Amino acid sequence: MIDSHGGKNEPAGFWQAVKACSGTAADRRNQYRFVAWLSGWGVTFVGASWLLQNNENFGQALAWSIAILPNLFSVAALIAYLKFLREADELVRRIQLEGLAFGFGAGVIFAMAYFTLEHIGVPKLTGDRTIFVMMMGWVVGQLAATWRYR
Amino acid sequence: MKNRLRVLRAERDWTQAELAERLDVSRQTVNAIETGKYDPALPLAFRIARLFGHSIEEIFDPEAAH
Repeated sequence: MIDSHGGKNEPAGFWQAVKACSGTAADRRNQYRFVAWLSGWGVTFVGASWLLQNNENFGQALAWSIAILPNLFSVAALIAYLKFLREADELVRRIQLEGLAFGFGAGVIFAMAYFTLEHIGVPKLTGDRTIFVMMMGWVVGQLAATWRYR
Repeated sequence: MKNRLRVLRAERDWTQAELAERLDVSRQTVNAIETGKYDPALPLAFRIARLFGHSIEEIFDPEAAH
């Protein structure tokens, strides 16, 4: 819907709402920086894991360097995310807060529920599954909050 | 919380984007405040009040539900 002064009042669809709630130009720049570091982390994490699992001939120094490399990206991604949050438009910050709360809550609930299921014989839970649920919860929480404030 | 932001903006013939630029927020924030989905934090409420030359209480009414 377009208001009488040329501004859109409500985005028509879900993805338009997602696009619309990306904040100011500075927020988008900070988001791109965060996503770039996060992508670097993902690539180096997969690469380092593969190299360390498939090459036993590495010396200690090289193996340590490869193992540490993804963590440099992860720390950079964390710093970029904190910068994004500190400088973000206040509605964007609210959306992020709700996303983080939902993600954290979903991860804790999943882990606690799974621990009780382990008593009745389901396979043991590994940490990466909880992290995956937290990250998916973060994304779902952001999308839900974006929809609420569209 | 009910507010008069849309009316005040309309009186000045500003678009949501123009108001957002003046307040240094996103257009979505202006839209969410106007539609009552989001109440601004105090610093933004003060910026809005200063911009329109009113007190916060004249723009935002905590007693009225949106």
